[in-house]
Order: sequence, then C-alpha cells, then structure tokens
Amino acid sequence: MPSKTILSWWLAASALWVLAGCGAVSGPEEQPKSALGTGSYGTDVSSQVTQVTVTDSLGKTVGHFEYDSQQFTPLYQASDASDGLRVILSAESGALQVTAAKSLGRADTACRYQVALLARDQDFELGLAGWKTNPQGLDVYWASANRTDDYRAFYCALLSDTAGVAIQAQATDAQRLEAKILMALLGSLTKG
Amino acid sequence: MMSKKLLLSLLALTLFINDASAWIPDRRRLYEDRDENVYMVIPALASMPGVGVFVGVLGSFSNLWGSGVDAAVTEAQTVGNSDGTGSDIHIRAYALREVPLLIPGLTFEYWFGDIKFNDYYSYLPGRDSPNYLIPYTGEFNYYFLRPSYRLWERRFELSYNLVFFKGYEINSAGQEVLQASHAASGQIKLDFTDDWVDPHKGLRMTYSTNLRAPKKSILGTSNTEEDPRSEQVKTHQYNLGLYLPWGEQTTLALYREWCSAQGLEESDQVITCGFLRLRGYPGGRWSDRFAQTKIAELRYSIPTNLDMDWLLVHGKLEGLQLAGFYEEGQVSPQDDERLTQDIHRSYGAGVRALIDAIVLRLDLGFSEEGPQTHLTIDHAF
Repeated sequence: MPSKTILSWWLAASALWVLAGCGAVSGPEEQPKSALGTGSYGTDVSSQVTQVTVTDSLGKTVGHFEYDSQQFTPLYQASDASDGLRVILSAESGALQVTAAKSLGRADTACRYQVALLARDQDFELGLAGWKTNPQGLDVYWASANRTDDYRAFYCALLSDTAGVAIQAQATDAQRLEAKILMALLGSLTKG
Repeated sequence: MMSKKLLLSLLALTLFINDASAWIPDRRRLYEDRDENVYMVIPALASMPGVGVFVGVLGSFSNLWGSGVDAAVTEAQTVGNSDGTGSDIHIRAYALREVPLLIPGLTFEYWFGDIKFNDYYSYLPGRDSPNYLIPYTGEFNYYFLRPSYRLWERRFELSYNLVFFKGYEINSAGQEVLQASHAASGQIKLDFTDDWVDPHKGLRMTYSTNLRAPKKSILGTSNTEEDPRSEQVKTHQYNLGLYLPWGEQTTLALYREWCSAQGLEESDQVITCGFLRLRGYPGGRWSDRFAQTKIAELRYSIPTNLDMDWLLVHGKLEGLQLAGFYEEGQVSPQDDERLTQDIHRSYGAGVRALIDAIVLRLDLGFSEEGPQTHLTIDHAF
C-alpha cells in the first residue's frame, strides 16, 4: 500500500477521533437562550412580598428571592441558614406548588438531573429545556417534564462560585407553570 | 447466575486439569520478542464551531530501545482564534506500560491524564435511564497505577489497579461537585490464546473485583470522607473471550461479560457494577446493579508484511484487519429475567492496522440512539 494512502487514512481517522462525541445532545432539543418573561396566567402580583435568603454551605448569604405572600401560602419555611430546603409554597388552592432548595455546582447539571430522574423513576415525559435571563441579569436554567395532570418545571441558578438554588414548580396543568406569581418569584432571584 | 457458575467451572477445570498443554494453543509469538522502537504518531486537525481550531497527536511506542517498556501519548489542544478568544480545551494523556520491576514477570503501568473540555456529558444510571444528557464541567486529572505479575508466557496475570481521580463529578444528589477520590480493584486473567495481542484461537478469562481504596497514595490524597459505597458494595466482573479460527485469515471472536454489585440493597440510589460495553452507544450509557453483554465479532486479516520507516511511523505493518461485530446486552437492578428482556443491540464494522504489538483500531458502531466512532489502541476484547 503506498504510504500516501496510509497517511491520508490516518488523517481521516484522526479527525473522526477528535470529532467523535462532540456536539451530541440527546433528549428534547434545547431552546435558545431567552428572557424569562413576566408570565401569562393568573392574577397580577401584589405589592405584599416576603424575601427568602439563600446561603451556601458555610452559612454565607449568596442570594435571595421574593414571593407574593398574598397569593402564595408557605407550607414550610427554613428555620435556620443551614437548612437545605428553603421554602415550600402553595397557590391556586394547591394547583401550583413551588419548592426552593439549596443547590451545588452548575445550574444545568442540577436541573437536567432532576427531570431525568422523573423520567426514569416515574415515567414522566421529558419536555423543553434551556437558559433564560431574568430581569436581574441572572442566568437561570430551566428544564421541564410532565405526565397526566402533573406538570413540572425546574429552575436552577448559580449564585456564587459553587452554591445556588433549585426551584421546582409543580402544577396540575401546563398553563399554571406560566403563572405571573411564579415568574415574579423567578424574576426576583438575585445574587448577593 | 448460571453463566457465572459456568465461568468459574471453566477456571477450576483449567487450574486442575492434568494435561493442559493438550488443548492450550502454543504462542504464535512472544510479546517479549516484539521488535524494538516500533512507533506511530497520528496527527489530528479539526475546526469546531464555537471552539476554534483543534490540533492533536496520538502516539504509541513499543519496546523502547529493547527495554520492554511501551509508551503512549495523546496531546490535543485548541489553538487561539485570530481574535484571541479561543477556548482552552485540551486532552493530555501519557502512559508507560510494561515497566519492569525487580522480579521477573513483575511490571507496572502508569497513566496520567489531564483533560479539559467546556462540557462533559453523563447519563443517569439505571435500567430505565432516559436518553437525556446531563452536562457537567469536563475538567479532571486521572492517575492510574497497575502493578502486574505475569507467568507462563503471559498466560497467567495478576494485577492490582489503583485509580486517583481529581475533578468534577455529579454526586448522588445530581449536583456537580469537585472531587478527589481513589478507587482500587484486583484482577486475575487466564489467557490461553495463541497470541496476547491479536488472538486467532483459544480462550481468555478474566475476573475482577473492587478492593478497599486508600484515602492517600503516591497518586494523591482524597478530599472527601470515605465513600461508604466503596466500603459496603462489592462488585464482581467476569469476562470470557473465545477465539475460533476459520482458515488462516479469519477469526470468529465471541465475548461474554457479566457483572454484579452486592451491598446497600436498601439504598434508594442506583448501585452499579459497571457499564455495558456496546460500541453503538456512548460510553457509560447503560449501568445498573447487574449487567450482561454478548459480542460476536468476525475478524478477517489481510497480510501485508510492509516495512514502514517513515517520519510518523516505524515498524512492520503485518496486516490490515477488517471486522464486523454484533453486540447485545442489558442491565437490571435484580438478577432476574429483566437481564434478558428489551435487550440493547449494537452492530458495526471496523478496520485495524496490525503493527507488530500495536493494534490500531477504528470501529464505527450503530444503535437505536445513533452512530459512535472509536479510534483506539488494542482490540475490544
């Protein structure tokens, strides 16, 4: 075999080696990055808000968010900074429930892991996912999944180098995941 | 598992049989007699959107200056864009193999890898793992040390494998964390084939199990408390390769693998024994507490005996090998009928360059989830 042929084959093979595994993303297609928006469902947000603080593992405040305390009823509120679960909120007579917990590491890792778990263990169908930027300029990753009468969306944000927050919204229909009070909560999420 | 018992019986039969030489094939050649300073260097150049120009080289060197030592180098790096915004992506991997120690037959192998990608991807473990990638930061250092003791023209091999990993991982809560941890395993291999590198006939059996890993070694220091799973979970892996000659040039290679993990049965986490080796799926696609794989591969060799003494390659190209393969396997949380239900299938073809003791392998595998390319050194089994 002439040497030129062998060399050409090696070069082609090498290119395949480098390209193998690059750029492949499976599951539902990721949406282009967009603005978070203000929501399209339900009552407008009232001026009565409650602030929730998010801390890292050392107890240092890394961020906070606010929720409409007229429409959301807290079912659980963390009593101290070390509690990983920050708050569980309910609205629309329980048809919309929001859970906020501390998170570590990349936002897209945490959010995609949670919806993958739902698909694996509870037969959820995987939905759309992607990055959104909230009005505070914070990048929030969201991923969704659903099954009959159970619609979930996870929103994850990194608030310091390693610590962040994961917010799960659970609703009885897809519309409620676009609730104005939910988008206001996510829109208030900020670092510091 | 019946298959596991069969393999154990074969192992026992092999050890206690009176006249083993009657059915154990003679070696076609001895690994120790391989030519000196055989090498090949494979350059790579690719332009990737959003990443920049990627330049790399893959090199393999055999029996350096007759010392018996083999070496491998992979060095790949993005080069900066003209505007200076090129991302820093690199793969640096170095390996030294067959480094002799004081006792005849005792050698060690050492690998070091320094990998940095923008993103690395993982799948959830478990039988029902969705086809859904979970990204995390692809930045880690990997160290591997393997002392091996080989006897009887490499027909018997006992190895201890120690791995130290330092980099980003996804923890059991699904969060990306920076880890530094050890893993250890032991392995016994019986190789009754006619050639250690490219077998044409005979059989090969391997048993490996995880061992208690140190927190500190010459490779590094773990930064976490001991992972209770490494203490409480015992994994067992059995491999059996059967090589059937069909004329001078064709080999039908059959391969069977089983693995199991015992311990922490009450845990709500998926405990895994390893991954399915199906070339049509991405690495790490399928894992669970029990796993089984079957592979049939037909290898057809075209002798070339071409002496190559070029800039990037030195050695004798003994032959080119064409291969077609079919693979199937499944994982399950229990050792039950689910291991044989809804089987994952993979098939493909490949070409191999047989350069003395180096097998350069390019395989293209297909599955229901798309194609996968493998360019690597050594046979798959």
